[in-house]
Amino acid sequence: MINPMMMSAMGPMNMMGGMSSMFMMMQMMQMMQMMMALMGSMGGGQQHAGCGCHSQMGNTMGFNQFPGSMPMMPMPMPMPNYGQYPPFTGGHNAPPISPGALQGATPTGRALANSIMNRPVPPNCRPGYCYRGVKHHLRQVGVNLTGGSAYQAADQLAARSDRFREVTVTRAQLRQLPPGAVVVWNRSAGKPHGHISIATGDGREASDKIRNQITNRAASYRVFIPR
Amino acid sequence: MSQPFQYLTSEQRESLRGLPFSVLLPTELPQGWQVEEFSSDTEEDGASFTLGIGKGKARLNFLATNEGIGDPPGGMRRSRHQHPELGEIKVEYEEDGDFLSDWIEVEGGWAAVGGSDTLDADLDALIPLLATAP
Repeated sequence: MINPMMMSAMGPMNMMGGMSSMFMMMQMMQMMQMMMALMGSMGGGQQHAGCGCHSQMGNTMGFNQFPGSMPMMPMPMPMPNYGQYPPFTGGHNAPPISPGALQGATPTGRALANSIMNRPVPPNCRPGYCYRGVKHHLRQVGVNLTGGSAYQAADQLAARSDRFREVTVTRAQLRQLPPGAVVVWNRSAGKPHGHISIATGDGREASDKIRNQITNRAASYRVFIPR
Repeated sequence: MSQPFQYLTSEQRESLRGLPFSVLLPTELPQGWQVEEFSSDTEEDGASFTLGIGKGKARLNFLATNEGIGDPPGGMRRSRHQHPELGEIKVEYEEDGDFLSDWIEVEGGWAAVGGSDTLDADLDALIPLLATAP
């Protein structure tokens, strides 16, 4: 958007020139975005940092990571394409995680960590039942999730702002998440259910079992930090 | 040729009828395999079923559920196995050797094969035998 006050000060010719150069710049950026999206889809998108909810170009160029350091141009950003499933409907404006949030354990986070310590593998939970496992742990802190597939948890967690706040986290930061942080992976090609886990605070994740935190899944993800 | 699922007791076969979803089980067990677990449970969100079979250290679980699932993380290795009707079934292996196949949609739910310490040949022998039971 061009500030109307600036438009009146520019005069017709300058305004036309400004509009023209801005139009060209937007076209160039859109071409770059298309190229980056193509490169991302060719490589499965795994090499890019960022939550995957934002444009890969944005993350590659450092947008969204240093608020205030570069003015954001409000223009439509293409979503990464990980297959035939739609992208997450929310989470696109989540703020970047702060360094403090990566280090601190919150009351909800501690309660979730205790639940995991007490029952690393929840009752009747087997590999593949990640959502069932996470549902069990979240019930211990009063969060009841519904649905059959892991990806369905994202919007429900976003609605529980009393317990969680959504943040943007790079793939490199996923293994630094504090205890209790929930990572929800979207559906992608050949993966109709997605994946969900709770960070243990030591670079691992808990759900149907405890494993090293997954970072390279070819899908977008959303991260929820416990309050 | 013997009747399918004869390695299950008649009570076990009958109990499958009470599940709210279909299950995929091998019609017969190849030489050396034996049933080690047969269980089902129902929670507020849904139900799940497991048939566990073993051969030495190798373990195979035939899973079925209608709630709470996610796709196998895998990452270390992937193997592919053919089923005459279902087509190719992918198996994803994790760092610790555990594995889970693609979730296969069945009537009322989903089915998958998981386990540990098996050979690819074990899966090549068992996956083609999967059929809706009973």
